[in-house]
Amino acid sequence: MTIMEFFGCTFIAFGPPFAMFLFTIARDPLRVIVLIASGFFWLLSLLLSSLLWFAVVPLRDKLVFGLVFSVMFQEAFRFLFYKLLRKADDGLQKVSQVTEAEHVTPRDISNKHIMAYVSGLGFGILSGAFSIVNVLADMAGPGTIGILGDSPYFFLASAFLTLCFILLHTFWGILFFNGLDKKRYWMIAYVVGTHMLVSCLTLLNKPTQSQPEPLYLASIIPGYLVLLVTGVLAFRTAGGSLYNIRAACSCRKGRFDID
Amino acid sequence: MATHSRQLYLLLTLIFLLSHCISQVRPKRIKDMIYIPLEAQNACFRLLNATNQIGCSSAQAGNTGAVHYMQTDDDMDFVLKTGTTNPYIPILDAKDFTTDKVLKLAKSDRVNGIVVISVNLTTSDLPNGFSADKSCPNEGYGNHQGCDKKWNAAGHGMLFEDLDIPIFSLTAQGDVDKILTRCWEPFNKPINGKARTFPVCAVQLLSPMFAAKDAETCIRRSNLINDLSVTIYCDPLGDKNVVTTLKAIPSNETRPPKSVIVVATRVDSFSMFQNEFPSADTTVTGIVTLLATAKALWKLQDFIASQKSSKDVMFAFFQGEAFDYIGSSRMLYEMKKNRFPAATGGNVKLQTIDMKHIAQFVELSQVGLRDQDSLWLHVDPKAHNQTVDMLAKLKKYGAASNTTFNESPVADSLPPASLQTFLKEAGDGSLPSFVVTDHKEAFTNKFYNSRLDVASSIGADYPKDMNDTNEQYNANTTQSERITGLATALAQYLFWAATGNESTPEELQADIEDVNHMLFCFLHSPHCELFNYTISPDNADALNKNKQPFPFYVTVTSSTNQVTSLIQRVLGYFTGKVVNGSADNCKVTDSDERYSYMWMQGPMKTPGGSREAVCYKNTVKLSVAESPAFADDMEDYDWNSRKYSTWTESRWDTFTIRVFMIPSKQFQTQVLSTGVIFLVVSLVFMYWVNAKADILFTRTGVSREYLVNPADT
Repeated sequence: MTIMEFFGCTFIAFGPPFAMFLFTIARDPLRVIVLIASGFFWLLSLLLSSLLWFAVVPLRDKLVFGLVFSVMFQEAFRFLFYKLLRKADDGLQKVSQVTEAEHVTPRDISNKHIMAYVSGLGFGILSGAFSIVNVLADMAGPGTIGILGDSPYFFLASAFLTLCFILLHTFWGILFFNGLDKKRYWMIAYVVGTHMLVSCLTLLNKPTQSQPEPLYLASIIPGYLVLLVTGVLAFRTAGGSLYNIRAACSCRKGRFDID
Repeated sequence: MATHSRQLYLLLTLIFLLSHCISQVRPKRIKDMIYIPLEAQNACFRLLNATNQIGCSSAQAGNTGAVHYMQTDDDMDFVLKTGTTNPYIPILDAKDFTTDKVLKLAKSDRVNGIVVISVNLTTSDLPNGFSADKSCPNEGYGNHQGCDKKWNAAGHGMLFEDLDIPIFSLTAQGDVDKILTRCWEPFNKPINGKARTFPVCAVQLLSPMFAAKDAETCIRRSNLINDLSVTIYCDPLGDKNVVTTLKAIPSNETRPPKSVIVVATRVDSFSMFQNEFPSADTTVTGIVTLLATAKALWKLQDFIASQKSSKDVMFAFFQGEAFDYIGSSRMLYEMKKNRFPAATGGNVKLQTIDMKHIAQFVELSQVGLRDQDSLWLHVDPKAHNQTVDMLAKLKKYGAASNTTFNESPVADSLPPASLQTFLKEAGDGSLPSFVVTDHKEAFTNKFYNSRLDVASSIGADYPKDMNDTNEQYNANTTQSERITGLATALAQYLFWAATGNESTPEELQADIEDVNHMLFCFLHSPHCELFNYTISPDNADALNKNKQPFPFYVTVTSSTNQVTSLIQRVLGYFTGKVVNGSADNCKVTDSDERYSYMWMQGPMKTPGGSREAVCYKNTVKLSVAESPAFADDMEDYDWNSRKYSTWTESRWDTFTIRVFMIPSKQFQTQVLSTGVIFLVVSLVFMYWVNAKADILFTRTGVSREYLVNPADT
């Protein structure tokens, strides 16, 4: 009964994103709307990638070709969504204001990192869903993978890679938006570069003649290293620091002192 | 278009995160990387009678177990006691598929199903024989109660056990390769005597049955209407009997008492598995003999019919006899209701036949495997005095055509035979009758009602170097020579019994070519000239699609079996006359319902060319062969009375068998707990981050760059 594997892998891949959604997004309708909209933009990039793949018949079998262009399309659509979001600032502000007389800018609009985070998570959840749903769908039966010689860690590796990409997309969202806002173009280069790097690393999961055993760890370990670096960068960009963490860990009292 | 979009979807899934493809062959779905499906559709299924359910069924979701190929006694011990990767599904060779082994395995909690390898079955695999039937077939439904004579010595009633596990039979070499070389050998076969540990290769058997408990319950459930829809759980077993009468007495003439000679045989058999019902000696020998006899006797039909005092001869092919005499009991039931043969209301009908009209009853049972090179005549002891002349005549005609008959020494009971149904009704000693069989006492056929009852076991196979089907079709075999002799003797006997006149073997000689053709068609390939000639043009395509012989299992009543239709056709061809007609008017036009008209494909104009269809007029009729217990006019039948057969077959959806790997419990638990830990930790972490967001994301000491108005926060 590998229904256990099914739930295990589902929780690994979607547990953290679910927690993020539950505590930071679900209570705020504006954020939910932006999340869905960014997910829609990711889907558009998928559509474009598939059209390209479908059109270029001779390269259908070449995974690298599709992969490179798909990364480029995703980043292009991240840029388009950024543009859209900035254009929609006024409108979003109006929607979130309760009364006209309010002079206060809502925090979601004033703090640009919040919407960057939400749209990054939207990208991540959709890409994660598309990458693992077909695996999960076939996992619930009585069997597990391996009769054709595949690694028994296939499901686990899929789940961990999915999680890695969901979180990476979230952090990439923060860095990318901030880079455009502040004209720090190295950030954008970093996002596109690491996206390409980690995606290409997953090619190692495909066994070849010279290397019959898939190197899952060769994609997972660098993937998580990149995730760590990106996470730290995003945290700092959003205003976090070691001091803040220490402050957050200390008791509540300190907070009132600051105020 | 659909396949394109699926490929697209798949490729993109691969692109975005994982590229999980294996070597050169790229399966379309993850499912194809997990499961290897097998083709086998030969599963054991469930039957139900008034008191029991028998046969096999898997759980609703199928039964899964680790594959273990049983080769030695140690393997039995391993599966039943010591193995650690239980539950198991043992793979048995045909020779190990014996009742005691199967029961031992089926009763164990550690066994979830059985797979048996049936590729290239030969009877030499099982020197002690194998029969899925009981040692006393149809016990309790004949005119003798109890099981005082174990006719079927090889039978231990495997099918009549409620096995409650699924059992599949693999007949394709490809399936066997999949399960042995791709599953058992690489993953489960012990290395140097050391058993493997998880992950191991497993097989899933899916054959869930709809019906449960007994026939009464499933019929009652089928009659319930839930949510305005009807779910049928089981159907009564049954089919059609094929009958023809020689004299075709019309309804406006009287039929004198004791004026009909019934000569009968049985059509159906069974075995453990769907699609494997060969039945060579069990019934084919009898069917072929009777058809050849009919053709021989019909040479003198005009003479017999013209004699005012001659007796009528009725040929009957009974269906469902293997399941407590379904066909014969229904015919008798119809006779008692005075509506046999059934008529639909033309001006002239066939005069009805009743029990009182029957002068004598001759039955052909298994006649292929002659004990001491002789056929044996079994006589109802109470009617013995009346049969002395009959037996003497038959012996005499037999001697003239190289066929020896002897009387069986078994004095107190008859072997399982349709005759028993009639004797039960006729009362003591009032029906002169005998059964022709090949066994003196217990069956010589060691594969009665089993999937091993094949052509080679009765000497109806061909020399190894004869591969041309045309040559095989016309080839004489030892069996066809014997059957021809028997048919000739029987035709002479029937001629004498009907008219009281003697005949010569030449006059009523059965045609050995017909016998060769019929044996080939029934046992080797239905795609043969005889069947093609007799079949209606509408059914020709369906016939030629079949490369395997048609199954002899009775199945359920909803449709007429192919075997029944073919017997009807061949009998119509052998006993009919060609009349002018076209496809449209080859039917009853003069409201004389005594006759049937069959539109046949007819002979080929040139060898291998198109055919010229012809119309045959004959007296062949089908009569219903469903147990009287299920008859429309049967009211308040007592299910436990054992008067009539109550067998029903459960319905099912699909038979599926596939092999795949199963991980250890430990590994699964690890994956699940990792997942749960990830979920719980991230829930706690995110709650904390969200609660402390103001502190965490405050740029201390510096202006907060994005804040328009810091004082407002």
